[in-house]
Amino acid sequence: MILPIYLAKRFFKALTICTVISYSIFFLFSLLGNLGEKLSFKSIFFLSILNSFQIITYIPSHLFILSLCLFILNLKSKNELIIIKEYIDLSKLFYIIFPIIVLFIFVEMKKDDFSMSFEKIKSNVINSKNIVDTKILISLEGNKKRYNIFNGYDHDNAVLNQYLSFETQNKIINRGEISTNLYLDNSNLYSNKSIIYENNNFHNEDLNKKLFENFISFWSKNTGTIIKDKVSNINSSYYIIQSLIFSSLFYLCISMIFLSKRLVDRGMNTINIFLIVSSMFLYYLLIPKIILNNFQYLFMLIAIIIFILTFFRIKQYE
Amino acid sequence: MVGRARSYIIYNYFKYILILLFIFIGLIWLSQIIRILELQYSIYNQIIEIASTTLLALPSFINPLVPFLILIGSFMLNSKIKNSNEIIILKQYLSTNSLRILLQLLILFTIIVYAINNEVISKKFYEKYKIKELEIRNNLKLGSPVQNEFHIDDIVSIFFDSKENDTFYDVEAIIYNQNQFIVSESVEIELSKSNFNLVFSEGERVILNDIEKSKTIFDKFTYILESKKYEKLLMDKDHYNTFELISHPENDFRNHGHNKIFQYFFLILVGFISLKIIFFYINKKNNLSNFSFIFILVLLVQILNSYLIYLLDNFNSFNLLHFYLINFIFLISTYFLVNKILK
Repeated sequence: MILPIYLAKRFFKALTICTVISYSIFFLFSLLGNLGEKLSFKSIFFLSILNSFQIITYIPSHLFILSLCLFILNLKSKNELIIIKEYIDLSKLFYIIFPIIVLFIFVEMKKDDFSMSFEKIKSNVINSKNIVDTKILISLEGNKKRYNIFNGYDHDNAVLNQYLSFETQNKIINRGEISTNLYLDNSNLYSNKSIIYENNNFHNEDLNKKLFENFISFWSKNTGTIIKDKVSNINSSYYIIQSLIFSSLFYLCISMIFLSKRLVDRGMNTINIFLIVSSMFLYYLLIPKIILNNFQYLFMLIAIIIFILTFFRIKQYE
Repeated sequence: MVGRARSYIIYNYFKYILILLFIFIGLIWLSQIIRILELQYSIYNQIIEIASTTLLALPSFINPLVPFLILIGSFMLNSKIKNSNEIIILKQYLSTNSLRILLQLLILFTIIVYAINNEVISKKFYEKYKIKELEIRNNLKLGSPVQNEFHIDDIVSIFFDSKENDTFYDVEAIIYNQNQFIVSESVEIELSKSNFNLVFSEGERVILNDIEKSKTIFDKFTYILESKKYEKLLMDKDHYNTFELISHPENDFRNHGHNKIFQYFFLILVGFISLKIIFFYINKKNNLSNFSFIFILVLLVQILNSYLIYLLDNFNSFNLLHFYLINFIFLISTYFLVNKILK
């Protein structure tokens, strides 16, 4: 038990060093870049702190790679790696590193949310009004398509400024509705008064009616601006699963490369390993950014298969 | 033997600095690419263009990072020669005089490379970068369509079935500020003078707002995106070298020039500190806490310098004399403090 604790401590030390150094470099870079902004130094300083966190959320995997690299170099320099590889096999080494991999995968899955949160705080700091306060729900019912546009939601006071809705069928606008007299009751959205467009006519409707069920939960659950009903749920769960598999395979492959037997060998080709890790890192970063209009599922499946093959290829040596 | 020991130190010193430079500049480069991609949803066909353009900005990214990379490189070199006990042998073989020459050579070489990059290379590449960046920005000014959706900030959202060049087909669009909803056969993005226009063809439009309630059937309807102007090239501080900045008519450009001068002194200080770090050795003692302290101290000097530039730009009562005086007091204090730690 002493050895796993020792290794975990060493890894956390490497992780802390890499995080602090990376953060400082990004902070400095942001600070010098933000100096030209017409803001107080306090705001510039705070903005740079947030910017640095945001850069880290863009590419959290770099911290894992750098930490693992530093961890292995440290062990190797004191000849501890040979002893560790002698006593602990690869699967046991994975048990030690597993919680860290899980942590990084969690950050990867949530990085868009984290980045969005930092963006919101940054917008507050510079008093920008770019914060998204509009959400559009697109739903399909047979050949009818409906756009519900919710505008100006104030979470603290539970107030929505405007509800707008349009319905199309066979490329014709069937119906439209606008209401600015709204209130929330038991999380549901109600309207007291609305203007409706229907059958080429506009009319006022002075009627108290429920417009949307469970609005508060809908707003907080859906972080994006465009929300697609039904179809999007399948898409998003598929997206979550594929990115989970994709991230897990990437972290497993990287860990296997750094913890493999080949690294114990003093005559190993460092450039070779560096090139493999860099290529995988670039592939991992750029592939999710490529979104095709067609065959997207197939494209992501191929990306996952490539990582699976890489995983088995590395495993073969062990 | 002494010559080899010297080359060994020089080789490893620059090896670590270059590796760190490569890693961190690479990371900044990647984060720039990803940030642009995030902002524009996805620009799958323009990744190469964005990557090659941001590559041109890298020389200007290098300068502010160099002192810190030198510092970290020295920590790593010290750790390497300490762990393998080479530090004891090197200290025995290299006399104080040969060490001094070696140190002076290292600092001189680093400053020359830094100055060439600062005054010539980064300036040239930055000029090219700005021109290419402007082209991309104007091309992507309106964002980029993806997954049959095209959102232009919070002005317009276009949902389409297919796309060819700048024309979208089978379109449903929302224009937010007037609560307009449009269904049309197609919409084309066109550039007129300095504005971008959206030209809708064959469709109908419903407006629902407090002032207007209407339905229109149109053959052609043009919506002008007034807030989206075509950008022109502006010269910023990175377009100039130190001498050009100092003689610039604008105050903040001149201040930036003086900051560049200060950065040379800052680099010399870091150079001296880094060479002290390389040969720092206390038997069986972990240097991490000492090195962390030095790193934070140097970082604080740079943060303070940023604050002084801010004061110089924004307060008339704070002049260049104050800027240099305070900065040099901190530089000298840092040097003596680090000297005390590494004694």
